[in-house]
Amino acid sequence: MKRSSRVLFAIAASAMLGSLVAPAGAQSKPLTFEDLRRVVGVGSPQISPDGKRVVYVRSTIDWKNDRSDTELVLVDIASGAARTITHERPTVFAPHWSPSGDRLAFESSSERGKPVQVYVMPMSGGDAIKVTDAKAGVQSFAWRPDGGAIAYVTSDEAVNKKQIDEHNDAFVVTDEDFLVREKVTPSHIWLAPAAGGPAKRITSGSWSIPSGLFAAGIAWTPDGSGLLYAQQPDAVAAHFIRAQLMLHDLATNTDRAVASGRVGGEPVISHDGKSIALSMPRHASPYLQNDLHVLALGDAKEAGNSLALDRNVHWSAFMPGDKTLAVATADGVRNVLWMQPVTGAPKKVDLGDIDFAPGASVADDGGIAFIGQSTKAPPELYYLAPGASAPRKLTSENVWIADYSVGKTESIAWDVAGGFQADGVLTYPPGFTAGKKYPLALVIHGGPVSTSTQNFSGQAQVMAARGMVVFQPNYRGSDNLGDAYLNAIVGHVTSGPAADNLAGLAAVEKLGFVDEKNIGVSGWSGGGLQTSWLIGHAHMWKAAVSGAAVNDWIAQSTLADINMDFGAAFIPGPGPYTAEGRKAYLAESPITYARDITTPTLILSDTGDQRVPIVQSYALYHALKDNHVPVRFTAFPRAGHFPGDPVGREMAYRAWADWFSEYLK
Amino acid sequence: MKRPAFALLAALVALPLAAPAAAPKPFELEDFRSAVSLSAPQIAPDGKHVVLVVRRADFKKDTYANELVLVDTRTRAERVLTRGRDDVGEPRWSPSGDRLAFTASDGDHKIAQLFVMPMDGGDALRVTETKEGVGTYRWRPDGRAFAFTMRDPAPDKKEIDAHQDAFDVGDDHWATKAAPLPAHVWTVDADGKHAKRITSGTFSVGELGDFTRDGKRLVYTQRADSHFGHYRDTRIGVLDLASGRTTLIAPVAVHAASPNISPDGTKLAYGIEDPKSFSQTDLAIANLDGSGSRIASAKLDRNLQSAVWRADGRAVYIGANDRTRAALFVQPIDGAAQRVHLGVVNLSGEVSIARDGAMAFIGTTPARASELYLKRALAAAPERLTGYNDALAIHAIGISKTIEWTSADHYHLDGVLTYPIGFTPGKTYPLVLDIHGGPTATSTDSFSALPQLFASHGYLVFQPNYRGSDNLGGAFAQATVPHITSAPAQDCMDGLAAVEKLGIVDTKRIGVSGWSEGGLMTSWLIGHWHVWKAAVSGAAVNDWVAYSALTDASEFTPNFIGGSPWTSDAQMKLFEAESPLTYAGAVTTPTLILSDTGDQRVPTPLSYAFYHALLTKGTEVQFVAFPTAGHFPSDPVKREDVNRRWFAWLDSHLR
Repeated sequence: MKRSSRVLFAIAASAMLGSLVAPAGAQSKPLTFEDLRRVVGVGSPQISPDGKRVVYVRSTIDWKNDRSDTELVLVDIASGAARTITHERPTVFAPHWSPSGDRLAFESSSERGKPVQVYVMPMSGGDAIKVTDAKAGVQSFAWRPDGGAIAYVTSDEAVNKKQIDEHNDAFVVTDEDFLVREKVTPSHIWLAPAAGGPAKRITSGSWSIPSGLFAAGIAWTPDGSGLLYAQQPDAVAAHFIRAQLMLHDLATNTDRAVASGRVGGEPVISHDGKSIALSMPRHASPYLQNDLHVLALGDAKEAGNSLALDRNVHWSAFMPGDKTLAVATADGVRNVLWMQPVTGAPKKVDLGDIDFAPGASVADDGGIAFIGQSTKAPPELYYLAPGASAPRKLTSENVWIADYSVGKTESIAWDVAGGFQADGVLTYPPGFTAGKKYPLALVIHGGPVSTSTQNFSGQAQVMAARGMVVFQPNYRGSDNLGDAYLNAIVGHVTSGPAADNLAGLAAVEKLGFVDEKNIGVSGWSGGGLQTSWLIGHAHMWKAAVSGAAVNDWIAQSTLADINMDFGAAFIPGPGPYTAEGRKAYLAESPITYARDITTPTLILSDTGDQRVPIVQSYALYHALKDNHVPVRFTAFPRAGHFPGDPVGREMAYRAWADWFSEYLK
Repeated sequence: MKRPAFALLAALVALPLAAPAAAPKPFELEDFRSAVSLSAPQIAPDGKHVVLVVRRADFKKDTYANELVLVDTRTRAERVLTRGRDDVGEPRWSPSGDRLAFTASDGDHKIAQLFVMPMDGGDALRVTETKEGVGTYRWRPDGRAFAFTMRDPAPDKKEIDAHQDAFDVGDDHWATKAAPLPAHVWTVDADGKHAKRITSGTFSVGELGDFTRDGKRLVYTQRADSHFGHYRDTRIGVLDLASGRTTLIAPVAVHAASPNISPDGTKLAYGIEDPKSFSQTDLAIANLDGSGSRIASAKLDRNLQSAVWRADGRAVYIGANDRTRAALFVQPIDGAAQRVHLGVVNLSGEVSIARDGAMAFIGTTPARASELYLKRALAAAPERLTGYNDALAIHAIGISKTIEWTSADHYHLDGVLTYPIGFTPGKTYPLVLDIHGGPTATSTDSFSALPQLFASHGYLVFQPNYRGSDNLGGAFAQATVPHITSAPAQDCMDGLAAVEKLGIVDTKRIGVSGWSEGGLMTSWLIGHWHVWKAAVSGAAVNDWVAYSALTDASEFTPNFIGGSPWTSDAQMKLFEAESPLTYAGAVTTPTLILSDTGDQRVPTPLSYAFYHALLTKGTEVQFVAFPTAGHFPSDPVKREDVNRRWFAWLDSHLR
């Protein structure tokens, strides 16, 4: 199961805190953005069923061509020997071992930009076979338990394809985002023989399996008789949150709702096929906290849940024996692994100073392969043997960082309204000297349902290397302290967190090293929202960077891919197009207070951001410019919520850091 | 000359098409596929031929194809001059008439280049080899060289090619993906040699005017920068080609346009914003050094659309809307303008004048779509030289007439009423309001596809010229300030009352519709009155606050409504008070919302907002998007689809 939390604005968090790190060692060079081009990404670990080998996706930056190149690497756990097993494939991802471990399936395309297909590689030698030929490409797939076939998800051809081909391509808009240029077609399940051969359609209808950015996986029942999948009422992207878990019976070609009337993400099924673990919203909306519920597949009777663990679930898997689930969540300023018995109290697994990234893999013997994060270096692949107390590092992809000096990170806690104790992360410049004053840069995470952890952040480290202390507060709405704290954001989506962030700033100032004339505030997405709000309500800022900011909750709810339902989760009550709702939405929108802004502000946005539409950045830009506030608005001509290409990513972080370097002196 | 704001609407929605009287067959939508559009007529200096651009739709390829056609002014014989140059345009005779220049894409790169065709036989020579494409051009009076404009390549092209393509946003529209770039003047010899850049800088060259007779200087419009939204910040420059230096004739930013040097080389005529009405362009005349500048057309008080010197250099022909006509005036350097007799013909584009004063132009009439006309002498009636739209003439057409009414503040307004085919006095008919965009535009009494389609199906169609229209003078055009929506909306309602007084309207079956500013009117009218059975709101300005931040016409709201909504509560209130979205909760009319997905003029997000507002209210609404850039679809299939959906929505609710 992939991450089941609805971390919607969290791109910033993962992009920012993503795979970038450094060990403590030799202090020599300060880290720059150019250096970070060397970071090797490790991801999608898959442990073989026998627990002896791990395959992972290795990604490196091709700066000249502005892309990430990926390949699959196979690691022998016992010896640590690693070898690359794919060559000259434009992209490779989503490796999955066959049930017996004799073959490895993965997604790839014959040429860059061509639709992605499933390939099956014999692990006893021989070329990989392309086993799908989906015109629209494969979104996700799952091995049939007997290893004889693969079920995969692909989207249908447009019903009016003929008219579209004749340029008669107008379409009816409903809950689409403002950049949509065609109707999304439903996604359905197909079955393809694992040895190659014609595929067969399994499901059809105007309903859809969630696709695109919200794609959900599918799972077989262990006896191979059924397929579990999420079903949304139509193909409109925003409606993924209305998805229900369904079971398709292949013999009768019928579908039934597994947990009728309850929405929930993609399924995790027990080894015995009797139970499913499903991530379900604690409250009305999946955009808030999601807990794990273990249900009987037959009658949906609840056998247990993670309500006592009380963290937003990022990933889970049944451990061998099906009595316990491995669960990944944020906790404080860390990403952690829990052992959650189906019935009983959860136990946090002590991994020492290594954090547990979501998206791990469990072998039949209970061995776990995972991406481990640390404060000092970019992530590496780790292995936790059954019953072992300490994880073992399997890769050394990012040892180069030892040549650089890396700033120390520290957590800080403070009291906020409602009786909560918030926390955050401080990153110090290398060579930080107590008694000296330093400029302070707030870098506020997005989400809001997300967490800034203490783990290595390339952005924070480069800013620290430039002499700033970086403060990343986990305001209410963050998913690191439990439902009460997360849910405290509801009804105060902007003002509530802003108060927490200001209280956090006060706590940092008490530490005595902050040059109070040189404080900058910044963030992307939900962090941009915070930034735009904070500069409209407080005036201690020397400079601000507001990236992809929700400046106007009405525009956000009207134009974003997650439109009305997202706004409604955080601003309950009547919608923005009622008199009362309009008032509530405007009250929590930074644009309402933009006239009070005096802070020199850099506005950043992708031109094709479907999540937080760029039009909100235009509004803030004009509000500042028309009031003669120093403002610069730099746009990145790309689709998406944050530049996805290496050059674009670096441009964004560089523009951000440069603005602070210019103003915070 | 064109105002950029919403003006394209009038042209699009009022696609001129016509038919002769004897034909009984009503129009179906597909009948308009055969419509041929004509433009850019150029009469040869000796008056013997006219060359023009003829455009036809290819519905299979979903494109338009152009060709240049030569028409003999005596025999009316036509000869196609170009083959396979589908985007050919801007033909211009050489000064002696021995060659014809035009722009067209070159085969390999699909970039607009300048060509010269010898008119005594031979292949056309490609004169330019530009990377960025030729914008516009002029012959040097000796016929041996050209001046042309070309956009600069990006100064950071190398970085952009390396994907370092972030750019700083200025007064640009919401769909901008790169920094706008200035255009500059180049010269090239007529044999293609010696291409040379003449101007450079952050300013941008807009239109080219004429060379002086000695070929040493050139007039042009100079825009302060390359942001489209700064269209008012335009001056007239006289460029010395040897030094590359420009002298600004209009030293103040006054939305200058259409600079033309008189045939005797002594005077300069150009368009300039009316001192009291930014929606109106007046004709200014000055000496070549800029001295003696004054507004010549103050008394005429009409919005100049085109300005062409008379052959004797003592008067200028002005194209301008006048009530429900697209009229032609002759404006002497001193004295009162006279309306030029065109009969029932409406002028489309600008006139082209031969040495002997003969005048060629494209015209439309209430009964006939665009054709080429020739006026051999000022006193002569216009002669129709072509029959490109004869295919439409087999159909019955709805008769149109001008309706007039008076507003509470004593404006004497007008509009065009088109009657259904087979209209019988004494009977009542359903009515469709088709409101033009702009607002600086006019619904004229000319053949138009959509009104005729409705008329063919039993509807009355009313096209009101509300305040802000450019058919009654500067004060009327300006009377919409700052109540950009509410004031014209009242005019539309007054006009509707005037039509209803005729006693021919089935008042239970009235639909309201429009695109752009006409969409604005529609969205507003359905939020304030409940007399409508259905509405079609196309590319509507539903929210002036969002509009002001997102449109490419960034000077529009400061002009029409005043200062930025973010500078004071009063301004914000005014913007909101004039926005249909504010009243969307009152809408009960079944509404079809239409928009291009990439509309830079009236941003698509405004349609999303109105859609969600009507959905919240529970009003019957459908929102159809056309996946294309621009303010109105530019391809034939989608254009037809707009009309199909527009007609079908109203017809299904009003029938």
